[in-house]
Amino acid sequence: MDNKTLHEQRKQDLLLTVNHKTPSAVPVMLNINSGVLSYAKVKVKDALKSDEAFVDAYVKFTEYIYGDCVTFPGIFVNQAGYEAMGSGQNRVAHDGYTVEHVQASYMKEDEYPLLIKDPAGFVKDTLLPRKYPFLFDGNTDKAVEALKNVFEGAVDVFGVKNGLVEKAFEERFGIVTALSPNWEIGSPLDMIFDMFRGFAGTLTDLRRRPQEVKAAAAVLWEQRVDKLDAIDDIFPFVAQTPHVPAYLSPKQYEELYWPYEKLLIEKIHSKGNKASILLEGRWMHVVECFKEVPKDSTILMIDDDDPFELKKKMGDHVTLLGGAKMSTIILSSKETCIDYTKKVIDELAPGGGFIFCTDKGWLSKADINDNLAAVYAFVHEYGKY
Amino acid sequence: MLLCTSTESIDREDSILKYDDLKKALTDDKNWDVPVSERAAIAESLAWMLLNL
Repeated sequence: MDNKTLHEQRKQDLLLTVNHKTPSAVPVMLNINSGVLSYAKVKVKDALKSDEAFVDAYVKFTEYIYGDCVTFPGIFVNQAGYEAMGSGQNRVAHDGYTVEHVQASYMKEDEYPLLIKDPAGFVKDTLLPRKYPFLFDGNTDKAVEALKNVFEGAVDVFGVKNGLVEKAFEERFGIVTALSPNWEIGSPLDMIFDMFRGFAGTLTDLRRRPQEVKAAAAVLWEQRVDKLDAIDDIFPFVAQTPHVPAYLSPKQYEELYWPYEKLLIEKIHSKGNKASILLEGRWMHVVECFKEVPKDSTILMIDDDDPFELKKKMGDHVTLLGGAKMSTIILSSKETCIDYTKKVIDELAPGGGFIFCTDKGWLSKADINDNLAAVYAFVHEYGKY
Repeated sequence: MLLCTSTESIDREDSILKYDDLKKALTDDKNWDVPVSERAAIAESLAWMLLNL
């Protein structure tokens, strides 16, 4: 079968299973990230030197690990921008492969009124001078050069190189990119968590000043969250990588998170597309909210929740993406991995609504290993309907 | 992603420039091959990109 036909067949299998119809086989999703470069022994900084080097290094692992589809192709760090600014939250670690996130928050707890009054002004004239003092010290030429490098670093990775990897997956291997690089679900509470107050600050504020958090979330929703009106196709799916829900009580989730989430899922559904939501951490305490949105409007990517319990609780209403645990793959014998994977397929695949994947992205060298290759090869054979 | 948490709060009451000064300098830059008509919007989005970098 040629790659174009293979790509189309795999895409149709994805569209069947997310509508609880039976595909030809369980789609096998590659949960790729910068760790796949380790298979080619090309570190991120070397891969970034040319488009050709980046693409060739990035796709080389496909000779080792089977896959029908990928989450997002490429890497998700603007390393050139990080180096131009001299600091940031996201960077390549010392091993040369792993993308790490080191949270640094610059908003003080008593500054909610400033954020609520004018989010953009607060960012530009209060937070950025704290985070990057050198931009504002009077050396305009140096500041402009740094800003240009941040912009060009983003265009190079997110606009050019990642796009070329997506094209290479499709044309060289018939592998489908399942999640859109253009449409993304945003959440105002995740913005407060990720960009303003951080982990400790946000969780403290939710208890000490909940009304200010609620008001800030409302303003960010109005001014900053994409309402997704531009969606004009049913595929690829619209992804979300939430961070704060695992730390919310059901009451906080229902009041501050779910109302916005529900609106965006309903918008995506009205466009014929699907919301693909990473359940980072554990969501079992709030997951039944997704029964309030239409059946087959949502794909839930399993992280630390029990996949078998999720299947029982939500499997008829949503598609489950996951099943494999990287901790098992890295720490157990090959036989244990295969036995566990067989149980996953036996219990989660019947009836469709299931895509096989790992719970964590492949960020580091240790993630690309023989057990992973064996598990993915096993699902390719055993997952046929 | 690996998640470590730290908090850092540096007061900068002595900033000489405002972000809009940088936006104007970026818009007027003669050594940048980005169309001038797009630069103001890029500068606005860069502010948020920098916060989340």
